[in-house]
Amino acid sequence: MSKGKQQSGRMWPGLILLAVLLACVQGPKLRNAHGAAPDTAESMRSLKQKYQRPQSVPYPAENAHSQAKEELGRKLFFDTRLSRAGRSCATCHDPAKRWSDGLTQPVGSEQQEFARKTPTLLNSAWLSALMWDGRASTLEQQAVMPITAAHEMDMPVALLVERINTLDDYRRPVQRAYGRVRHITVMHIQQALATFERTLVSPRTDLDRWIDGDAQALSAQEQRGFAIYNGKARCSACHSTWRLTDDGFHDIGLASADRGRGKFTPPQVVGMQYAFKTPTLRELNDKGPYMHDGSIGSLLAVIAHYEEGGIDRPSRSPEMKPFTLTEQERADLLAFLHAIGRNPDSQAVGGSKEK
Amino acid sequence: MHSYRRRRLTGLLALAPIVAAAPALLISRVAGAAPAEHVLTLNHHELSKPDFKASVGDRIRIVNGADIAHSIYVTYDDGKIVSLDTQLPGTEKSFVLEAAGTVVLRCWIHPVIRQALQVTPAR
Repeated sequence: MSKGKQQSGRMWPGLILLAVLLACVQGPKLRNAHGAAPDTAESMRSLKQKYQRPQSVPYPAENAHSQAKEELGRKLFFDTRLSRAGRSCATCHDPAKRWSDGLTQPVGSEQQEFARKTPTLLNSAWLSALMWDGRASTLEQQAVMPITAAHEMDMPVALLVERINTLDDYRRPVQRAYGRVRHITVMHIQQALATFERTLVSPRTDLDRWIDGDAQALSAQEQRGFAIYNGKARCSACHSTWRLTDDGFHDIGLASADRGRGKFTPPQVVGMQYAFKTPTLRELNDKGPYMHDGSIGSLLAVIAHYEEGGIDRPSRSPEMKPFTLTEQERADLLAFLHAIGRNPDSQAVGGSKEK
Repeated sequence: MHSYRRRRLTGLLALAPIVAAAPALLISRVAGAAPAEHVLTLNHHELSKPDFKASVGDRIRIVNGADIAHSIYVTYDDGKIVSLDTQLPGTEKSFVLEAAGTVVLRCWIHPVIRQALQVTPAR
């Protein structure tokens, strides 16, 4: 053996030892940084805290809650007279269908199919951006958008206000909510609808019970799925908090011509092209279809999409990192996803009050 | 005589740094203090509250301490927007404050992130 080879031969064990030592030092830090599964009771406790439900519903100071305003909002919400197409808000946000429409493709006022699914209204009170593309930033702003959209309820603002003011059965509810106003304005309508929508909150599920300390509320497999959700699969990078959404915008690599958020942001903000708002998973149904465009038919196929990482393009979210689950891990994650919406014995708040 | 010259030379040499620094000190008195650097940290869905006073010309460093990517953009009073592009975990981006007034920092990805800076004219 030459001298050089002898020296490099002596160096290798040293380098390997150094690498092992570095891995030991860096390993835990790296695992935590990438949201790997919690390995201690304490880290599990702190992880579960991130999913704890809030104690109360937030109402903005400029549109504080009142029972009268909520009642007026409820009346408006279910009233087809707010539309020239015989529709109400509840046509697409049906309380019996988790405040969505249960359709693969929503249908418009002229039976045309929409490219984007109808999101649930549950937990709207916490939203910081509304609509799939975030073009509304408050519930008040959003409230009249579907009413005035030609392909939805098809009622221009001026006509809406004119019609409401001619309906005698609105006079008293409006006065109860706003005092002796002579003329009902679009602001009254927006505020009342937004107030009602803020009362729609997801029912408590088995996941909530488990987060709150009922160890039996989720099965062992579902709990393993929770660890994968927060660890190897990194679902929690976007589907975070008790609502299982970050209210953020991400291109998850779906094949679609719809530019989503990209239509409202400067073109140089590449990451917003094909980006859509992260939907809550709380109201996840077992039937599908899934994704903003209803393009994936099963939860297993959804998991496969994330494992593969979707279309690799400049706008694709940095959170879309391909990974591979074992059969067992996939089954565990699926079990957890099925458990998210499991709610054997309660009703959505507000869901039983509609008239 | 010789030692007198040496003492004088030593005295002049001792004054040299002060003489050399004088123009710089004069310029800084006229032009104001040097711009400062300030750090704001991203922690998951929050941008830390500023604990400093910022002026035009100061550099704001954004440190992404979260384990998710962000994309901060800056909006000035006149509507001008400066985007800092996608910022991966553990990385830093920075920008120089261009105008006085309320400067709002937001995230393209996470609209819930919002922080305002009150910026005074250059020092």
